[in-house]
Amino acid sequence: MSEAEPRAYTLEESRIIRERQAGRARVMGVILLGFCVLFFAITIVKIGVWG
Amino acid sequence: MTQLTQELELPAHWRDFWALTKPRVMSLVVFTSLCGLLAAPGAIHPVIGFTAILCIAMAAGAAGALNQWYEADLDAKMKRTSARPLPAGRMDREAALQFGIGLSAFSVLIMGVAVNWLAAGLLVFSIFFYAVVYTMWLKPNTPQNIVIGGAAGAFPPVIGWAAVTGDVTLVPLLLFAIIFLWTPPHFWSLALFMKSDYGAAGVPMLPNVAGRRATRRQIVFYTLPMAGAAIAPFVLGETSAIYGGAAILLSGIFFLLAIDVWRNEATQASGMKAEKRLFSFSILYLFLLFAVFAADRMLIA
Repeated sequence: MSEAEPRAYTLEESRIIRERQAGRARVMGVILLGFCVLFFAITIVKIGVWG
Repeated sequence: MTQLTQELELPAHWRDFWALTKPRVMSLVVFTSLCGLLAAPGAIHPVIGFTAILCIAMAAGAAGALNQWYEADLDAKMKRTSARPLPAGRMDREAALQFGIGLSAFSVLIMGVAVNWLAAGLLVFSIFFYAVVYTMWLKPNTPQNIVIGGAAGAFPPVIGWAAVTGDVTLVPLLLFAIIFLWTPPHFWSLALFMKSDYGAAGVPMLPNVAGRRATRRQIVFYTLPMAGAAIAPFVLGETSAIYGGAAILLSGIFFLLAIDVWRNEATQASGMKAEKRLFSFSILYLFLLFAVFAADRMLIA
């Protein structure tokens, strides 16, 4: 007996998947941007520009 | 089956990753570590201080994620935890594991590079202690799980202190002792009115193993050394009388509420108002005690 074929997503499921992917991408973008700013600030502090 | 499979095929929502980090526990961790950082002698650049607290918060979140990854089956059996992302089928277990390990490594690495390696070492040990020693070893095997496991939650103020000074002295060890000794009465008061939940999951919490009477006695018993540890910084001359007075007052209220629990003989959760009151107050107790401690130390400085 062969394995069942994976079923295709319905339109509603596809919409939910895209929404979740977009949401995760947005959150990840904000987090990455935050870390860019933080690492920049850490670097400036470590090289002693701000004392 | 079909419902669960369909749920698992969908990518997890970002809010589910957030829920994995146990945000409410994280808030207490952030607060106590901030108090440890503010109470430490010496100065730390605000950017480095912020980074240290962020790393501690991320590590706490990572430990929470690893805990939920390991306990997904257990969580499904308890009403209180059955709606978490993994038991509810909203997330793949592997994703939770990868998230936990990734966040752990990231937080420790940044702490080491940006703050200091002693703080990073303590951070990695605290994650290991919570995720492995407490979650995998103590919790399923011994009713003393909370007693020894309480150490995991006691590390944050020590790490906050170490972030500033690069060492660990008597004062951060006293902060450690306060949380360590506060954890058993805090958790056992919760376990008393959640007994059936833990029993259903087969977790050997003290009320399930030794009974309610013994648990209520132990709550009072642990309150005494906890109060001693809370008052010790004042007795040792590390704080002013402001903290000393607050510690005596708060610990006195805690003790009286613990006595109420000891006197209570209710067997149903509906009759356990004393236990619920002690549980709520225990959270307020820790917040106020640490806030006054940090404020007092800053005033002295």
